[in-house]
Amino acid sequence: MVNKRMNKKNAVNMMTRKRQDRIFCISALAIFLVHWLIFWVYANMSSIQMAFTHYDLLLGEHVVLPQDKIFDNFVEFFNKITGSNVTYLLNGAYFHIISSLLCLPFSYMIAFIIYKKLPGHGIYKTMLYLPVILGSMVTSLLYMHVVESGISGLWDMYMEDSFPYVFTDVRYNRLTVSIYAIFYGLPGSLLINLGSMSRVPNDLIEYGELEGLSLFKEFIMITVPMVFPVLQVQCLGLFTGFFLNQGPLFALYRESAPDELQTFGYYMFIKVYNSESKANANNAVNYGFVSAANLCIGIISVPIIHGTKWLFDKIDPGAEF
Amino acid sequence: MKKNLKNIICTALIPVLAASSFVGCGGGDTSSNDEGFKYTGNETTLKIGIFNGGLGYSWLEKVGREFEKDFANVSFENGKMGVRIVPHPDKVSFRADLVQSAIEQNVNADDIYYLAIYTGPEYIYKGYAADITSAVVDKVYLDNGELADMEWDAEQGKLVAKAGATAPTKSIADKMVDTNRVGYYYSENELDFNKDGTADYNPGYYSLPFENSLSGFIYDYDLFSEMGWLDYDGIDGLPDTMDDFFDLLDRIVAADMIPYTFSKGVSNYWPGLYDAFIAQYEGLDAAELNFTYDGEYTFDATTSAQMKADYPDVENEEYLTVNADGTYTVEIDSQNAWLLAYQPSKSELMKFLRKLADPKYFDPDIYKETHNYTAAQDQFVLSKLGKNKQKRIAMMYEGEWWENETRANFNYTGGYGKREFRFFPLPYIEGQKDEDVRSVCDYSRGVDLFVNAKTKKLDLCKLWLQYAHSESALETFTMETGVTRFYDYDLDEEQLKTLTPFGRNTYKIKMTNETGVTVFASRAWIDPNDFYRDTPMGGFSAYIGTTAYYEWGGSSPYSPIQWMVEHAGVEGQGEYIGIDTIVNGITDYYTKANWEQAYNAWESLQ
Repeated sequence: MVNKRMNKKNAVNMMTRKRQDRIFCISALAIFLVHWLIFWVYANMSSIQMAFTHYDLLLGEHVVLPQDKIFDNFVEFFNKITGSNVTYLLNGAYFHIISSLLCLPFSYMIAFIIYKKLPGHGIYKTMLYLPVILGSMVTSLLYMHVVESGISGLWDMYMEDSFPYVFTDVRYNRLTVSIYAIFYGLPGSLLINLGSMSRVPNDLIEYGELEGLSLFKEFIMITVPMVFPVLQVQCLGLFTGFFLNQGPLFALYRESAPDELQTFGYYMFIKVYNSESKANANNAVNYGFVSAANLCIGIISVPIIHGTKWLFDKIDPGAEF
Repeated sequence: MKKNLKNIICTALIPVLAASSFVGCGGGDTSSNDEGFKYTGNETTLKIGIFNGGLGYSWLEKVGREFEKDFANVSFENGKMGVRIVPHPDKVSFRADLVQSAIEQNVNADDIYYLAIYTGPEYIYKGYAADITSAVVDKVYLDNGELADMEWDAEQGKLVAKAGATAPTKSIADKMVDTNRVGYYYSENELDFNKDGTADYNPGYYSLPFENSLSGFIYDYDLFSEMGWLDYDGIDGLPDTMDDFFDLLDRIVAADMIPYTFSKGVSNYWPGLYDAFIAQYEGLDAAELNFTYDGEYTFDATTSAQMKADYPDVENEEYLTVNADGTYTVEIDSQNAWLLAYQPSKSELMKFLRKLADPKYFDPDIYKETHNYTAAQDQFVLSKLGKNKQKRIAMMYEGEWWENETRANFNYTGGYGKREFRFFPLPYIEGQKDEDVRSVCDYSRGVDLFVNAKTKKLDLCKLWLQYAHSESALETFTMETGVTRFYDYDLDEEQLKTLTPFGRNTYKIKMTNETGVTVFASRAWIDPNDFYRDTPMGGFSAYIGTTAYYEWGGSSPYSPIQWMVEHAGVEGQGEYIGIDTIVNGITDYYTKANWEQAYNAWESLQ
């Protein structure tokens, strides 16, 4: 009799706990689900719909294009991308190479230096945490003033000729922007990389040290394979990033980057960006074109990203810890 | 103990934080304002959003305090007495899209907005701007512009004259200049959004002009006097011909100074010069054809011959009449307005700008990315000190608000209002229609104020509008900001003395005939043709043939001066582009075929 009661009580407890677990799961997921529904599903649906509209300036709203012009925004995109704006793609590739092939490997090495507390790690930490903490707007202002007031001022004090206007001068602007892109790109995802490296088991590292592994070999043979899943995620856009890469153009130039540096990503952003200086310009007229462009780029990118993933899965060392 | 201490501090902070979150709401706040006026905490609040740019908002605070005092014993809501004006100054959140979102979602929305944007029919159609017609047309002012002796009628929700008081004779509309009175009125036809023959909203006023500031070259009058450069035949001894103008620039260069500076990043001040130039050259009516597309224009013989050379069949067009002297008269409409690209003022303007954008004349620092409009203002003012090898700058291209905006910098050069600056009117342009006109332009057309259509205090908002457009309130505005609004009011000698010399100069240009300068106030924003307003080809806020972006390519909407300084032949900057390429570029872009294509595409969407 007592056992029966106990069993019944246990069953009720179990059910209560299950219900509580369920409520917990639903509550925990609800926020993310709502977030996903609004900012992914709704945003994408709205963007797809907008690709088939034009903006009526009088009414201030988007109107679906007539049937015979329904693909006008897509036609405009292909005309742009195959026409003179092909340099935008090349510039996108340039900045993408800087961030993916130059900054990414170095950012891992820097994270390794900090993680291993090698000599100079304190300086790296301070130097590279700054751009991560301050944000691009502050860093870019700092960089511009250091160059245009600091370096330029010193130059003018001690040199005969005046310092060139390196941000607008076609001879120097690519270099100037590239230096900033590297400076800003080096930290990469420093916090994530440091976090994943700190999870590498100490036993493994000690074993490596006993085997006489150099630091470089430890980095290549232990650390990189161990953090490979994180690296893989960061590299998924390796072959598609040039479409939308903006480099640091907006941070440095706002809406007036020199033509010879502009990327397609920057071009599209400027098309929809309502700046203070263009307070009266209504960039909603460009939403249709930009939505169509994004849709096309998305369609082109999906198989490439899957291909990239497949490639990385092939070379994944499969290290687990 | 430590934990307890933390708990105590946190508990103590909760009411403090809760209380502070209500500050500014008026509810329960019994503090005093800066003039010692004591709030009861039971007032109706009126939130006024104001663009905190060059004008600041001290004028609003001052007028607001007076308003609070005058209506302290009037109830605008049940259970409340008096009113509290809560200014909401901001810059970033008053971008058009953010204002629209705030109103739409009714989050952080204000009751009234004084912005730096054009609102137009879009704000009516979307239900953002309230109908304020009664506030604008009701007579509430005496002949002297002050509010008549009136009292608040809560039932009618408006001011009514007290018994025996002098009847008011003027309204806000009566105080507006003609172009604004007509331009800001929305007719039945303009409000027929669904094109069914009847207006979707009541015809009337939904916004009012706020700023209407001049823009142009501002010269350092003290420097000019000191250097003896005011020895020409024009206004104030300034150059009166284009040749003399460039002679002056050469003299400034010879004195080892920089003729002018500006911020290359801010191109939207320059249309003031373009508008003034075209209006001065063509005459007001012919200039306005560029956005009304409705009227007659006669091209001179040379231009007519060029048109025939470019379009041999042009004489067969119905809209064109060949006159006995070989000139063409065209009935301009939406479908043939591309011909306005042939207006001689367009090529004359480009020639002037090409010459002006000579590297020896402009400040080379415009090529710096950090040289924004405030940097240009700072440098113009502080160049007097000659520090760090900085050459003295003689002129700057800016707007009427610049002096107030850079007020702090004058502390280093003798104090605010101690130096004299003036607007530089355009000299005579060879071939201009009326030989006597010398102009600057009212640049900030379409800078509006409006009442939020969702406000629950519409009557109070309308009362505020009437109060804020009284003679004394308008005077306060000018004395606080140095900027003169385009309404009928005037400052007496004593009040004028409180302005800086530059403020007095702009006041006299706008409100009197003393200076001999004509102000051209374009209606391009407030009264445009539909095709003009909707498409880049039509004009899209710029006059046909004055926007480098469309005619000569490029990926940013450049204004010609921006484009020309970037193609001025400075080493490392864009290559030099000659005037022929630029002038031909206008008519190469504005072709009959291009126009027809754009017009047909636009029409098919109507």
